[in-house]
Amino acid sequence: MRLISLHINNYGKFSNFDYEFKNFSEICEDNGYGKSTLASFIKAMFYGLETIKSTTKFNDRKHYYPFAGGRFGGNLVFEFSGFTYRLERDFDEKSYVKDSLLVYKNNSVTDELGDIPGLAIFGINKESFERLISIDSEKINIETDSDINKKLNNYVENVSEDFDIDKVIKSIREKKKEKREKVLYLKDKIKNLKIEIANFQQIKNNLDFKYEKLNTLKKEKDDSLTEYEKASREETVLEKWKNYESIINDVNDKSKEIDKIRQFYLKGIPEESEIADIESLKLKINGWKTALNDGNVSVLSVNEYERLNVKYKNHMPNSKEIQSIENLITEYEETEKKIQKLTVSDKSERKKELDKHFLGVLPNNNDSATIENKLSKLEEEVNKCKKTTVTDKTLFIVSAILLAIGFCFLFIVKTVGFFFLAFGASVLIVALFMYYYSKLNTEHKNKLLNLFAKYRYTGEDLGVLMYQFKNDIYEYEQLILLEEEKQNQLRTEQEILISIRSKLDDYFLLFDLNNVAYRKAIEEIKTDLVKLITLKNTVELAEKVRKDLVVNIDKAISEIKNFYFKYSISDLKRIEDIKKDCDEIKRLTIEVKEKTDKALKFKFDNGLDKKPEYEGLDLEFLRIEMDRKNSDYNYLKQEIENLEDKISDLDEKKSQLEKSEEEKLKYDTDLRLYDCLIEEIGKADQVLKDKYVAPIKDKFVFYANLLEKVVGEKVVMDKNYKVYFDRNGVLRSSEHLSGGNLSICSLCFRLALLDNMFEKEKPFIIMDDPFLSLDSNHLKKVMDLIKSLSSDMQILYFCCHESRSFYYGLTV
Amino acid sequence: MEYIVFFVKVKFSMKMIHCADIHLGAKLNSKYSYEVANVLKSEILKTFSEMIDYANENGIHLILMSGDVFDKDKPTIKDKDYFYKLVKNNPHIDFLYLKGNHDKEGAYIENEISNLKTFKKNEITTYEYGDINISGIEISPDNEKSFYSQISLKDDKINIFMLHGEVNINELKNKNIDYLALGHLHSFKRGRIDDRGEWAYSGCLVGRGFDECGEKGFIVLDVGEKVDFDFLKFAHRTIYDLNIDITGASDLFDTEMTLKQVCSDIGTDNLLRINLIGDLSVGMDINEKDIEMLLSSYFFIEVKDKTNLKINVSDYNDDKSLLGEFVRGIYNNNNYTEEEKHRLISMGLKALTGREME
Repeated sequence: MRLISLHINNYGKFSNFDYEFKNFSEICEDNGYGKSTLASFIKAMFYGLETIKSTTKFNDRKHYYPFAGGRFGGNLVFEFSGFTYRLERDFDEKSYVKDSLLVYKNNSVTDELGDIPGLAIFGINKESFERLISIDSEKINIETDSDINKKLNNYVENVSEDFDIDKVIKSIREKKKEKREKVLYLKDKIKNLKIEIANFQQIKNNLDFKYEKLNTLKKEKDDSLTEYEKASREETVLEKWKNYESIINDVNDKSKEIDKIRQFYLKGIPEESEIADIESLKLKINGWKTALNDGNVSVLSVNEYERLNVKYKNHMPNSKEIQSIENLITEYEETEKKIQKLTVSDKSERKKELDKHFLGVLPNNNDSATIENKLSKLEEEVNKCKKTTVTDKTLFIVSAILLAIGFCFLFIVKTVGFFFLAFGASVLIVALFMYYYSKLNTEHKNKLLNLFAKYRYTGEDLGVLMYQFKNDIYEYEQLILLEEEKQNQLRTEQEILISIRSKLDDYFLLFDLNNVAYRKAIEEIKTDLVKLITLKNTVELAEKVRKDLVVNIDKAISEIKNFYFKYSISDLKRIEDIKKDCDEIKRLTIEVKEKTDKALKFKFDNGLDKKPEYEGLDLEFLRIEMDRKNSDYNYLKQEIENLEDKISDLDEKKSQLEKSEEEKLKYDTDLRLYDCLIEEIGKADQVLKDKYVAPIKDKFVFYANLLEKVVGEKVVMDKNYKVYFDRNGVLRSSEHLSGGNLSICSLCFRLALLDNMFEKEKPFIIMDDPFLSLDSNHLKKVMDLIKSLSSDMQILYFCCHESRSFYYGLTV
Repeated sequence: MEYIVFFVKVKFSMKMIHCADIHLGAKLNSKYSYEVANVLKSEILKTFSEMIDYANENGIHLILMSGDVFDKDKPTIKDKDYFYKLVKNNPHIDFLYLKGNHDKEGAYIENEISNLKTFKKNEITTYEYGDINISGIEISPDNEKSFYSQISLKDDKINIFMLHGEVNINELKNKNIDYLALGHLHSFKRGRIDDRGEWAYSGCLVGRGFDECGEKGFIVLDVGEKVDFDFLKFAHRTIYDLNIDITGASDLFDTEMTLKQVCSDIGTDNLLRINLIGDLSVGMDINEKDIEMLLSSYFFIEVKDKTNLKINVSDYNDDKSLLGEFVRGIYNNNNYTEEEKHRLISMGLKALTGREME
C-alpha cells in the first residue's frame, strides 16, 4: 500500500494544495505550517469526519473547516493491491450526512471500498488507525516496562491507550457483584411479597364468610327496622288516641269546675252587665262617701266669710260705685301730676341768658328809642362815607401831587402852574373836610357802644349789636309773660286737688281705710268683694251637694241589696268574687268549647274512628334492638371495609411481585451473561495472544537487534511481552532503561505489530515528530534505522526543527 | 316515536347512553407507580360520575350499561356504595344494568333501587319506554348457545337489545333488533346485523393498561324512528403503545429527537409505552431509563428497547484485534441464543471500550 499524491481544495489553512508522496517523505517546517492538518486530511480521506452535534466538543470537522470558506475537501491517490485508487471527498460544514465520497479505481468509480475505505484497506477502525498508523511523541513516549507491556497488549487488542484487560475483567466482576446483591435483595423482597400476598389472599378468602354474615346482619337490620317502623306507626296511633282522650278528659274536668261554681248561684248566674252595674254602684258609693267627707267648707273660709260680712255690713259698694271711685282716684292722681309738673322750675337756658343782660327788668322805651335814633343817624353818615370811593388820605396825596406839579409849572408855564396849584388846593380842602366828618362819626359810635355796654353787649359792629339787642328785648318780654300764665294755672289745679281729696277721704272712712293709699284701698275693697261673693257661693253649694249625696248613697245601697236578693247570693260574697266566678265560668265554658272542637278535629284529622284494641309494643326495646343490629351491621361493614382497605394493596403487592420477579429474572440472566462475558473475553485474549505474541516477539527481536546498535545494549522480550536488556551479561528489567531508549523500544513494538498485522501489504506510517526525547546521538541512529525501513514501508515524517530533519540536520 | 298532541302528530326522539366495561375497582398495570395507579383508579370513578353529569346536562334519562360495571368478582363495599349512591342520587335517570362476566354476585347486596333495572340469566327481560323496548339477557356458560333462540322481539317497536360477551352476529340476524348494545370488548366497534339493525361495542369508559389503547368513552344514541348513534370520546387520558423505529440514531440525542418528533402531537396528560425498534449499530447504547427520564413530562412513560444490534460478523472476520476475536468467539459459540449473542456483544463492546455497562 502506498500513498501517491494528495490535492486539498480547502482544509484548515490549506487551499488548493498538492503534494506528491515518496517512500520517505519529510516535511520539516515550523510550528503552524499545517503538518497536523495534513495528517488529519489523510485520515479524513480514509475515514471521513465526525458530525458536529450540540454535545460535540471541538472535533476535526469544526477544527479544519476552511478559514476562508470554499469547497471543503480534496482527493487522495494511492496504490493498493496493484490498483490505483483515488478518494474524492467533499465535507459539509456540520454533518457527515451531507458529505460526498467518490472512489475511483484506475479512474473508474467503484464502491468496493464501501462507505469507510480505511476499514476496507487497513482492516482497522479509525481509532486503531490513529493508534497504529499515526505515531506522535506522546504515543511513543513510555516510561516503564509495564507500560510497554500494556501498550503492546493494547496494540494487539485494538483498544484504547489506557486499556487494561485485568481492569475490564475486574469491572465486570464488580458489576456482577452489584447484580448479585440486587438479586439477593430481590429474592428477599419476592419472598416477603409472597408472604404478604398470601396473607392478603387469606384475608380476602375470609371475606367471603364476612360478606355472607354481613348480608344476614343486613337482613336482620332491615327486619328490625321494619318491625320498629310498624310498632312505631301503631304507637303513633295509640299516642293519638291518648292525646284525644287527654283533651276529652280535660274538657270533663273543666265542666266539673263550672258546675262547682254554679252551686253558689241557685237562681242563676248574674249577667255580666248586672255585675258591672253593681260594681259601678259600689264605686259610686265610695266616691260619694268620699265626696261627702271632702265636701265641707273649711273653718278658715267660714271665718273669712264672717269677717267680710261684718266689714261691709253698713255699706256694700256695687260695681258702679267702685268704678266711679276709681275714676275719682284717677282724676286725683292726674291733678297731682299736673301740679307737680307746674311746680317744677323750668327756667330755660335762654331765659337765664337774657336775665344776665336785663337782670329781670326790661329796658325802658327811652333807652331803646334813643339808641335806635342815634344808630339810624350814624348809619346814614356811614353810608354816605361809604359812597365816596376816595378816602381822605388819597385825597391828601393827590392834592400834594397836584400842588407839587403846580409849583413846578410856575417856573415853566405859570398858567398851568397856577391851575395845578388851584386844583391841588381844592383837593386839599376836600380832603380836610372829609377828615373832619370821619372824626365826628367815630365819637358817635363810641357813645353808642357805651350804651350797649350798659346792657352787657360788646362788639364793634353797631348794626349787629343793635339787631341782637332788639331781638333779645322781644324774646325776654315773651318769656316773662309765659311764666305769669303758669302761676295762674298752678293755683287752679291745687284747688281741684283739695276738693277731690276731701271726697275720697270721706268715702274710705266708711270702710276704715282712711290711712291707706287711695289706689290700694280701692283694690282691697275690690278683692274683699270678690272673696265675699265666692265664699258665699261655696258655702251655699256645699250644703246642696251634701244633701244630694246622701240621697244617692241611700238609693245605690238599696239597688245592691236588690241584686243580692234577686240571685240569692250570700251577703258575705263580695261582688269581686262574684265577678271572678262569672269570669271563670265564662273562661271555662270557652275552653270547654275550644277543647271539644279541638278533640273533634284531632279525631277527624287523624282518622280516629275506633280505638284499636291492640296494646303498644315496647318501642324503646325495639329501638335498642334495632340500634344493636345496626351497630352490629355497621361494625362488620366497617371491619370489611378496613379489611378491603388493607387488601387494597394486594394489587400493588402483586404488581411489585411481578416487577420484582421480572427484574430478578433479568438480573439472573445478566449474572449468567457476565460469567459468559468474562469467559469469552478471556478466551479472545488468549486466542489473540496465541496468534500474535510469537510473531510479534520474533519481529521485536528483529527490530531490537537492529536497535542494539542504537541502544547499545541487547534487548529481549519474554512470552508475556516483558522486556529485558543485557548489560554486562546480566538480564536487567527494562525499568533500568532511559526514557529515550524506552521510546525506541516502543517504536520497535509498533513496527513489529504492524509487520504482523499487515503481512501482505504494509500500510504507510505517519510519524509526527515522535523523537522529541532523543538526544542527537540516539536520534541519528534511529533516523538511520527508519531510513533503512522506508525501503519496505512508506513513511511520512513530520518535524518542526532542522535538528530532527533527515535532510537538514542528519545525514540521510 | 310519534305522539298525537292536539290532533297533530309530533315526532319525538329519545337520547340514551350506552356504556360498558367500566371496571370499577379494577387492578391496574403493574408497571404503573403507586401514585399513577391511584390517580387512574380515582379517575375511573370520576369519569363514571362525569358520564352521569353529561347525561344530566344533555337531558338523557336512560343509561344502558352492557356489563362489567365492576371489575372484580367481589367488588369492595366502597366501590359498590359509590355506584349505588350515584344511581340513587339520580332518580330521574334509569340505569339498565346487564351483568357481565366480571359482575358476579358479590356478597354485598344493596336493597332494591327503583331506577336501577337489571336483567335475568334464564330469560329475556324487557323494559318499555313508549315505542322503545329495551331487552337483554345475561350470558352464562349455561345459556351462551341457547339464548339466541329465546329472542323474539316485536316488529312494530324500536328494539334495543343488550348483551355482554363476544356474540355470534349471524345468529342475531332477522330478530327485529334495531340496536345491539354490546359490552366485553374494550374498544369501540360497530357493524351491521342485518338490513334493520346495527351492533356496537362501546368499549371501556377509561383505558387502564396498554391492552386498552386508543380513545375511550361511550356511545350516545338518538332513538327516534330509527336509531342513530355515535361514539363520544370521554376519558381524560389516552393510552398509546407506539413502535418507534430509531434505526440510524447514533446516540441518545438522535433518539430523543426522533421520539419527540413522533410524539409531538401527543399531550403530556396521556400514557405512553414506546417500543424502540430498528437496527442500531455497534456502540450505540440504549438506556431505557435515560429515555424515560427525557420524556418524563408525560403522565406515564415506559420505554422498551426492542432494537436489534446491527452487527455484521463478516466485518470482524479479518479483525486482528481483541474485539474481533471476541465477536468471532461469541458468534461461533452455538451455546448462545441469538439474543444472548447480541447482548454479550453489546456488553463486551462496552466493557472493552471502557464504557459503562448496564
